[in-house]
Amino acid sequence: MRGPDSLGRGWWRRNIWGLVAMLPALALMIYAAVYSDLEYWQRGRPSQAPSAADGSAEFAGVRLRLVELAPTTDLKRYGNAPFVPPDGVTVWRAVIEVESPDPETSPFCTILLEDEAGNRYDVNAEELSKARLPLANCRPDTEDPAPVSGRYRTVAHFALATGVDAVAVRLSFGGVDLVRYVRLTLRG
Amino acid sequence: MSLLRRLGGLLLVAAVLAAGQAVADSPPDRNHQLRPFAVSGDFGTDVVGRDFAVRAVAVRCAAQLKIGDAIMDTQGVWVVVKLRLSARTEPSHISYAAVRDASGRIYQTTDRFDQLLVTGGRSIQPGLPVEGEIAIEVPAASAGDLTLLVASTFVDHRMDSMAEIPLPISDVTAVLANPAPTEVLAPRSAA
Amino acid sequence: MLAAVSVTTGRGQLSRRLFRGLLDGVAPQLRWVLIGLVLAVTAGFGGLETAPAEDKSPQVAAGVPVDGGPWRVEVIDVRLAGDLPPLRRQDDKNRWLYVTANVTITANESWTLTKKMVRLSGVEGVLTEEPYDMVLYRDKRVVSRLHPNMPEKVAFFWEQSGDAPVPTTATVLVLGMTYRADSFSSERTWMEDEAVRAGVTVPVLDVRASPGATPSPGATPSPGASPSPGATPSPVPPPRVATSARPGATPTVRTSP
Repeated sequence: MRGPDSLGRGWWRRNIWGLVAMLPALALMIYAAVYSDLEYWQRGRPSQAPSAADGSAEFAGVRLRLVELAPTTDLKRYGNAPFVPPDGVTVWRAVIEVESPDPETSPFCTILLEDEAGNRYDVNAEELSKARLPLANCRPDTEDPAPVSGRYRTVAHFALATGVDAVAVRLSFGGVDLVRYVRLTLRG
Repeated sequence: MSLLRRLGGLLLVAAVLAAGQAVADSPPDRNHQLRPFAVSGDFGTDVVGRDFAVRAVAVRCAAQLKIGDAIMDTQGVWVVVKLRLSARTEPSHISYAAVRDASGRIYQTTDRFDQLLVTGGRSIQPGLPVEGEIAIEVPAASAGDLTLLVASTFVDHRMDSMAEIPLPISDVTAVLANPAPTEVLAPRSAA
Repeated sequence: MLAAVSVTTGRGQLSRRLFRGLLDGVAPQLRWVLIGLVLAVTAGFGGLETAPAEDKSPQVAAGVPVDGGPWRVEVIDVRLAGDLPPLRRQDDKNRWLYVTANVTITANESWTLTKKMVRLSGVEGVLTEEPYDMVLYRDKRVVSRLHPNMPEKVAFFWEQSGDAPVPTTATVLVLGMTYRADSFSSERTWMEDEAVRAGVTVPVLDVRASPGATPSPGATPSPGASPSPGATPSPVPPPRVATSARPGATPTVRTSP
């Protein structure tokens, strides 16, 4: 229809609300189109969950605290002989205290270590493959003896170049939260 | 008048659709758009990808490999490349290594024996590089002009980095004339 | 119109009446025009051509190369064997059937899904559809990967139940793939088209009594380690033989060529 309508309104006036509605519709369409890619991208770049001032954190239904982060040399091989890492490699040990209302249902975690430059290390270092190491997964069943209360420790080992200092650990609970991790330091 | 306007509208819709199709069909095509990000570098230098760095330290050819007690021959020639691999800011794996010849054919590492260094079996931590050799069989005629390809991705290399390093190879005929089995260096920490 | 339809009317009845009602409501004569239009349009894409006969994959003789797209397969023979250590049968009564073939990768890149190339047909009691393993004659090892323009003689193995009759003939089906654009992503890639490119029917040579009659002298295929039964094919199955190139193994001193 061309020209003014019976109320004397031109094309723009008649269609103003339709034109306004197009803007959120366009935004919604774009969001719907990129939603899955956005989620995938977020998973690849998890964000940091908040932790308390004393360095502990409440995350994924458990309370977590880093109680030790230091180089270690007293590792054993599977045959109980002492384990010596390759030249230029220092083994770091992180001990994390987990407090869970119900240790039986505590979620599994993945632990990364962070050095002063922000580089991350995982617990699968080939350099340590000959050492006998506990499973570092935040579950109570890896502790020996089994925990009596809801508080237990999970111990993780990492291989770093000698001379590099570790500053923090990052814990993520893939079964509970795919896009966030908690960062723990020795003091808040 | 009204009929003419309707026809005009129809033509406009058809024109928009045709234009859209033309844009979609125009080069670069989908495969080209999704191709890996090639990072080229010289032999002997660190070539840095998104999550790894690779240096081709040495290359040699052989008519036969000695893997444990087994001697492995080939209808072509074995290209043995010594690599130094490092992770950048987080632990990484190298899951793909191949060479591309002058005609564009791509030869992946052989699976006639385990090559964990480049099949994702070796975790590399930042600051702790790994050294080792890989073996690839290629037709002898292709060996003179090869580019090494290395990626951390396994089969889907789309839109991720792939290192490309030209390999200086010149000893093919001499090696084939005088076959002697060569051993392949196992991965080891190079920290 | 809808209200006139009885609830007890069958579903086909309902839709037919609905459709005719709608159509006749729009234009009484449009039905025939629409049918004619559909026929005309489909005819433009070959809709009226004679349909090809169902599943008549060409039969070729042994030794004839069959082009499967990314591969070319030349079936040599089919043999029946008993125990072939270290391949492990699920039951000691079971038999191995193996197809020997020359395979050339015609794709541009090394090919790892080599178990997709061939199927066995006309044999009762074969436990898997895909071959259980592929063995490279060159060094009698289980491999998955073959390289472009480097033809290799290989054997594909199937396990046959010991309760099934001993086959006298078998048909080896060479499958194919097509390099085309994916309908959704428009990415060009090798697509499985479920098509049998050719069938090769050959007598089954029973070599159970004569181990020496295996294809080439001492050629009893002997993969390096025991393959896991029923292992599903993965893009890059772990190679079975690991010796000096194992991680953590003492680096070997190499002899220079």
